[in-house]
Amino acid sequence: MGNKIVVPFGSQHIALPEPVSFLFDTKNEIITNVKVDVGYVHRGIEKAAITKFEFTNVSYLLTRICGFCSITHAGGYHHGIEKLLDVEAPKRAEYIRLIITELDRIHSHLLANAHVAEVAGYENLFMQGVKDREIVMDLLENITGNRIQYDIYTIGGVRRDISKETAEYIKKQLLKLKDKVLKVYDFYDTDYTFGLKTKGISYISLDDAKKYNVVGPIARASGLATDARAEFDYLPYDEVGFEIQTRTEGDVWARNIVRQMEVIHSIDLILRAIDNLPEGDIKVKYKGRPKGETFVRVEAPRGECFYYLKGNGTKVLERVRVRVPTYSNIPILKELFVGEKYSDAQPIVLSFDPCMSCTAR
Amino acid sequence: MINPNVEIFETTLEKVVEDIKNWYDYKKYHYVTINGVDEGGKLRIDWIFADYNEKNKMYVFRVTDVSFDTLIPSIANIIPSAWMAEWELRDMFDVEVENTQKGIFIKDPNIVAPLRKDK
Repeated sequence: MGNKIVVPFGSQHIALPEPVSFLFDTKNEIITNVKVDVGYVHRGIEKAAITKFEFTNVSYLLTRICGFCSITHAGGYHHGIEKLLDVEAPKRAEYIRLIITELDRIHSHLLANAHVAEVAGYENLFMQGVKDREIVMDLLENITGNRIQYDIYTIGGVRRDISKETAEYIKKQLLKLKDKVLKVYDFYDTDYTFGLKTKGISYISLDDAKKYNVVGPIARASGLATDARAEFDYLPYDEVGFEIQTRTEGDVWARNIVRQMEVIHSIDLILRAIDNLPEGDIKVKYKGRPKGETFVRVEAPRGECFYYLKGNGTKVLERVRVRVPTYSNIPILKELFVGEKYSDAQPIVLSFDPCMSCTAR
Repeated sequence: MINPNVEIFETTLEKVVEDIKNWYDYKKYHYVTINGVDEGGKLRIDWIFADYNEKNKMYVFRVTDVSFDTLIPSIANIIPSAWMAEWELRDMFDVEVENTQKGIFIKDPNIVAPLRKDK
């Protein structure tokens, strides 16, 4: 016996930053079945990339798949196209790419954690998170000229250099941010009521994380030490001492903690990259047209992003395939709801930090 | 420069599920996605995997010369998260894939197989 109700969650919902629809079958407020629709913002990006744009301009299209992950898509595409053109970016450019990529990760993680805090009832913490994130947004604007669509990558290097003054400014601002982030980390780690709302919720075991091929902070919060930064050579992460951040609790709380640990680690990586920024050019010339195929894995803020590129020696590519992290995490998210309370649906969804613009492309 | 170490296993549509089943160990390998490429009237399908332990290592099970009217087998019984890529393959190339539904990304019935060159 029980009160069976079908509850729609999305596609437009106060807790959702992007459109996704979950249709929950509930019995006495416990979710018993879920239907999911992730395709609301499909824009035919892969089709446009092989029909409307020359390979030199495809990056502008791909970086607009998503505001948060624009640097990820720029990275996935450029590392692939440079392989097909047999061109290698200078070391200084690789370091600048790394710095921007990690700044992007910091602002994405800060907002994701702030969203979880908000739906757990901590509005002030949300505002604090967004306020701290502004430090990073200002740095990105300072370095690249833009707050969101950076377009710093170009084939063979980067568009803008980092001056000594800017490097000092980045260090000063990041040290300021680190203090703030550590305070918030301490809160997530020790606050009793935040723990009540997030600990033990939507638990993913290490075995399930592997079975469902979970990626990103969600996998690492379950003890699965997977990260494209360590598993694929695309930027000099080894040289700046990258280490995978993991927890083993596997719940909403652990996902927030892993993201917060990654923010702190990303700050350290950027500081080391700036201290060891190589001298030299930021761009090399290239010639030719892309021919052949290549496979690329890069680590987006939400996890592994996969790119497949195929060129046929013409100006237009034959195939561009993008597989983003949320796409990988949706199957387990769908399974996780079953058995949880409907009231926990919001923190569960937001602990996954889903990006539907990327998923639907 | 990136240097992916990709090992390609050429197989057939009849054998691919069995081949993946015999090879795949979820504790060692990470399923990445399924990718289709229109090679001019015929479809090429790649089932793509990565290695958790070996840097830059990727594995591809590849089937070429697939007709667009052939039933593509599903690997969702072996890899439960593979259903999304299978549904997408159906939408993008208008091919029948075992146990899939149309419409995960293409909602408009007037748009058929956007990644096929003949449509």
